[in-house]
Amino acid sequence: MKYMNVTNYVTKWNTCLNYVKRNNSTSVKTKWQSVVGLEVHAQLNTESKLFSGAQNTFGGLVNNCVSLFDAAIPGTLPVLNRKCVELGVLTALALSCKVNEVSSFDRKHYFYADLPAGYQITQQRAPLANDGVINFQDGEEAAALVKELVLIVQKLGACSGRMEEGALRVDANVSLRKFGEPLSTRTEIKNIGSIRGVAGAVRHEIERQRTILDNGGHIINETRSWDATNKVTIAMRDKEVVQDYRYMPEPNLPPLRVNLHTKEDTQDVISVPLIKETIPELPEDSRRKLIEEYDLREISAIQLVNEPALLNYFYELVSDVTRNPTKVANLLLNDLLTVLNKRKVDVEYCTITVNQMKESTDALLNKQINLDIYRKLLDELFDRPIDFSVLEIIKEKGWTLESDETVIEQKCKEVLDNNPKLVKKYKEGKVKILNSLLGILAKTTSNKMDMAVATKKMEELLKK
Amino acid sequence: MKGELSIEKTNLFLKLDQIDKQEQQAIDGITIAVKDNFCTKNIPTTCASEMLKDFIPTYDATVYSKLINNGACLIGKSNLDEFAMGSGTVDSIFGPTRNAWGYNGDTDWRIAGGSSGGSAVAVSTGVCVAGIGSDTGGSTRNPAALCGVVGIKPTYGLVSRYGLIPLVNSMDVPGIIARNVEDATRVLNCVAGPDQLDSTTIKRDFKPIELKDIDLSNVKIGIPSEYHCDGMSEDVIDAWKFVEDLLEKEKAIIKKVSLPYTSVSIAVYSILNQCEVASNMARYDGLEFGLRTNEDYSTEELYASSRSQGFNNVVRSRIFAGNYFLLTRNYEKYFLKALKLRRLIADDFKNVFNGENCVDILLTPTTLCDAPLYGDFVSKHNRDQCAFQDYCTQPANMAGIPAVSIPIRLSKNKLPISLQLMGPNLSEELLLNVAKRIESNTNTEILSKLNISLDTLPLKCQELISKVATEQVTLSVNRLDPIAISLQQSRQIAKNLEDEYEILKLKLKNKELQVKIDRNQRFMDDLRKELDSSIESLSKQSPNPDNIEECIKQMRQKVASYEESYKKATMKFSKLSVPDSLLPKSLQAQLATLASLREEESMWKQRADDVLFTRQARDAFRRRK
Repeated sequence: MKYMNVTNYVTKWNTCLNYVKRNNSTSVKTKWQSVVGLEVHAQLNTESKLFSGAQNTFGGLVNNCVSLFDAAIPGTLPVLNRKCVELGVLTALALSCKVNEVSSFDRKHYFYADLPAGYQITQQRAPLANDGVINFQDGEEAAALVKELVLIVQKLGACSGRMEEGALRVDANVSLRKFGEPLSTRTEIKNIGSIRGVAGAVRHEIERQRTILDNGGHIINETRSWDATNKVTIAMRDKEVVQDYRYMPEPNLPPLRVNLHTKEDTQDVISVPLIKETIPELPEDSRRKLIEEYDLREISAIQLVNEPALLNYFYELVSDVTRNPTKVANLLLNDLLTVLNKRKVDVEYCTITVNQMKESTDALLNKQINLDIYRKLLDELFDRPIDFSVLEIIKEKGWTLESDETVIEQKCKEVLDNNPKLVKKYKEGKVKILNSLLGILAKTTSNKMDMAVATKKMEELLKK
Repeated sequence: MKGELSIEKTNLFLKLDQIDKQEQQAIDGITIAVKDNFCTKNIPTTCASEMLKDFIPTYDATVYSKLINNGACLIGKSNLDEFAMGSGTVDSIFGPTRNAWGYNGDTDWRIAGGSSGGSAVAVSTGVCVAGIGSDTGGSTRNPAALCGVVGIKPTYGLVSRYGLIPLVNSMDVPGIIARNVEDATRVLNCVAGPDQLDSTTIKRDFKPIELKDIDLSNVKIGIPSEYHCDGMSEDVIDAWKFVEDLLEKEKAIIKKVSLPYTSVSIAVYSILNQCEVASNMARYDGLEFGLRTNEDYSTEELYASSRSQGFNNVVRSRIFAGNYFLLTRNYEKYFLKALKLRRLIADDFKNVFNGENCVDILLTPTTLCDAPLYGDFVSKHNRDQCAFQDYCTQPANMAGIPAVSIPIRLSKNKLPISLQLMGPNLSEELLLNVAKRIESNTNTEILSKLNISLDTLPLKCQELISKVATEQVTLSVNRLDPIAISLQQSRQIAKNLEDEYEILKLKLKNKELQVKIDRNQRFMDDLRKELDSSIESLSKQSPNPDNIEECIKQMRQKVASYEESYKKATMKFSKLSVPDSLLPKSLQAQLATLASLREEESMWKQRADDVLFTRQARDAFRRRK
């Protein structure tokens, strides 16, 4: 037996996600307009497979996730997984699709070594839902669209969205045409496995086709693949002979009916209005909320929503109104991310607890520590046990900021006494010398002075 | 018959199981033959094809498991046309199945009908009580009719198809063959009902069919004129007329009705059949099982050569035709048109059962003539034979409605002639009751006229029966009993051994547990001792922990008073604002005392906490004890 982990993908969005990418550059090259269509395959996040009771686990033991039906043993029949339909409807609703009251299944035939039955079961002629709309930020890039889609399916819990595990895959169709002319021959780039890959593959393919067309060549209809290492698309097989899939209605599955109108939900008929009630706050709503209710800048809102873990920190932190949302957002997006990047830890796997985050942020906002120490503190937390007390670390490391004015004044005096030349220069009118003096203060006190107070004191002393 | 392989073994074990079971089951001990396209766990299921020659399923078809759960004994898997494509049981890799009727030696014999010919012959010769077939275009009713036995094609969806290797999924139904209506009904009652593993089964619970004396005067019976077609033999027409008269005599209302789309049915059937066949056969690529050629140039080449050698001409030609009809450019022209016509054929039946001038059931012939000679049959193409043989049976599959074929009388050739009753969906109860009435009235006892002597049977049947006979003769009761007993005994021994093994395992577990318990006991004892000694030492301590709180109280008062006086003193001196070093000696001494008192207080506090903790621990320990 050669068949392992036969997984089922639901292809739903190939029709609803086609869009035209406008080319904004104004060089000579603009005679070409590129058209990009995306086909997204999202693997549903369910315990078992779409048509069988076999487990649906990534990295499962070889041949353990295969039922008799998956291996196409004669006489076995498909049984539709209710959970998959629910998730399908949920996703369709979130993408503002038209959900169809009756949909049906079709067999798509082709011979391939990983296809034991010789056909796939799909919904070719009457799908569960169609004609969706997706609103996304950040320009017309194909990658942004995929990112938005990933965020949506993750938020819905419909799909893990882990492209590196193949849970979501993208095929991109690219063609170039002159403005106002009909669509021309396209190429298809198969199985792109990362968001960066989508951006790179589409960009490269547009460039490749443009070069060919500019040199008077013509594009052939073919399937290409994306080489992520060398950043080029490579021809896989040509499509000169068009594969005829000989679609036929799947006779072993009756048409799928859903209840579009009432909340009556039975074993066999799923209520769509009932599912509609369960749609969570979608990325688009989150961004609007951040901008309107928390007064964040658009870019901060986009960045926060792009990282669900950061967004969660944000909501937790600003639940206490004393913390300023803009400051909190900046701390998360600048300082926490810097620390994570340095440590090469994915945001998703950040081990700092909400509690620790609150304590650290409060320490900073109450001027117990300064920004420099704040970063050190976050970094330190990774080496400590889970939920280790932040205050204890500050105490242990002696990171508390000195805010006693007399102490600060004393230290300032020392700096001035030790640097008479600089003081002289200042008094001669070089006011910028103040910064140098403050720098010396910070250095000699290992950054532990409250610099706002120190600046004030230093100025006072200099003016005496 | 084929499959002697498993007969003896299966029979024996199944019988032993029966002995254990006290209560009587619906078909307890009934012998059955199952068509070799139903999956049977650990028993080869070949579909009479090279492609599945070595296929041994790891699961049971729902129909089979239901039969076994109701007490039936499988005596063998029965022959069929390859993948059930045929109407004669002649296109099998195991060779053709011969009809017991009109058998005159190896060169002069009749076909059994098909494709469930093996099951029909097994029942008609008395090898078993009931046979399971499949019915896609008449494959159960046709051989039942030609072999003089009863054949039921239930409503589509009444009986689960799970485990039935498909021919045309949208028309296939498991069928039942038995010697009389009562036997067939009993088996149907066992296998019918919803099945979660087959999404196309009817979800409603199945109410077992009761055979009773019904009043035929309320029953309207239709005679469809279109079934009176070219090529129908006079014998069949006579039998048809005969039963019509008979039912009229029984006060049933007889009406002439029309099913205008009957004639297109065969063409439609042919297209739909070939399309689904092309699709269903796609999985046989030689990789998982069956014939696999040595072609190793590429996967595609391996598929192509395995498939071209593994299927017979009939199967291959249906695959070619089906794939042609399914091509995108032909889909609308053939497949969609066929689906539309199928709807019209089904509507024909709806009109006749529900419309104006409606009837309850239809009476038609099952086949156009009696069983053909093998030589005559194979001289025509499989496709033409199907078109001819399935003419009367296959519209019921198009519409999904139930039908039953019952033997009526013998033809001039002394071969059985059968008629068919069809009714609306789920009308099995009425159909079988009317069939039962016809059966009791014709009273021809067709089977008793079948002259079964060893030499009129097909060779393999002869071998089997003589084998069974010799064993029965040579085994005297005395000899038979000890065998059964010794088998029972060894079974009992095996069971005892298993029990003992379980006991041993439990004992071992017990031992391990005891060791753990002992270890815990020792640990508890140590703890207890430690506690006792600490209680003792605590009681000896002075001051006794019990009045330690009192001590602390006093100490606190002392501290408070000192603090008070210290405060006063500082107040006094603060006005002077002298450095600490200049404080009067007395105050300094007081401060020192205060500090030491504070220290002492905290020590007592510590000790009080310890005592409290020990007490809590002791209480907790006691409670647990």
